[in-house]
Amino acid sequence: MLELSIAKEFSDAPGPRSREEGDFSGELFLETLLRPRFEEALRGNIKLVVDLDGAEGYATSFLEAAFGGLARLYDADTVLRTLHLKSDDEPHLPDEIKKYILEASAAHK
Amino acid sequence: MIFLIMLIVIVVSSLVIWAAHACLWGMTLNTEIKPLEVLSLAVTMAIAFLLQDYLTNKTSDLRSEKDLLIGNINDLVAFLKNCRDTLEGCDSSGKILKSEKRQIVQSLRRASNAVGHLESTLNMSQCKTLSTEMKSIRDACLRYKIAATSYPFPTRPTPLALQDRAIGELLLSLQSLMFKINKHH
Repeated sequence: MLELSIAKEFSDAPGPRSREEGDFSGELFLETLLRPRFEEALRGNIKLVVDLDGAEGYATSFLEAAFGGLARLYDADTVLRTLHLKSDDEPHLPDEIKKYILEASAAHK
Repeated sequence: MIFLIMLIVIVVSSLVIWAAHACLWGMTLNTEIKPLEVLSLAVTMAIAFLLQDYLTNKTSDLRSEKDLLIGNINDLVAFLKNCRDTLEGCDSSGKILKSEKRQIVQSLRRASNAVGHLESTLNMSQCKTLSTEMKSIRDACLRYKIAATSYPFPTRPTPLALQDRAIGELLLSLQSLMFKINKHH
């Protein structure tokens, strides 16, 4: 099992959608942390636990770019099977992210 | 009103007994005591007392639960209005400061958690049949978050018209649930 804490490894104040719009964007998170760690989990056939706790809060633009972006690179089933989203600060956040993953994957097909 | 009716009943009963005792209007008073009738009266009075006590407690418990649920809805509405007011300020200035962005995402997180809390409390209460309403409220809450914090947030505010429509729909669902809770038996 691999772990990825957004607040500890990326930022406790996640930013906008793309790099051009500002610091700590969803696109940057996808490219530098989420995708490499996801591919490592895929290669090892293990789960990637994404810890969402500790950040001040997540905008839709960030979550859609990061997790929706991952679903546009891989199919939704693979993403949902490999990722385990953990949030004690906001227990319904993982369900929200799953919606972004499914919608991004459906729109991409 | 209930006390007035009870007083009238007692006064009328006393007058009828007095009239029967005085043999007025052809009435007579039979002073013989029948044990079975006394027992029947005692049982009837005990049942009436227990029933009244049970119904009073039940009504009082239900009212307390309704007040608690309505309080939870009011907390949720306060988080949403705080978020809406901050976003309106951002729309006027055309930009979003870091402190405003933090306030907006934190208000939305509190609102999401308040929906979860309301759902849990509703499931534990005597109004749990209304928990079917929660799915539409959660969906409306997510639609509001999407309208408020999609692209170009937090660089620039999202269109205010979209936000107004989404929060209007959410507040309507919450007010409808509040009325249903208040009327629930």
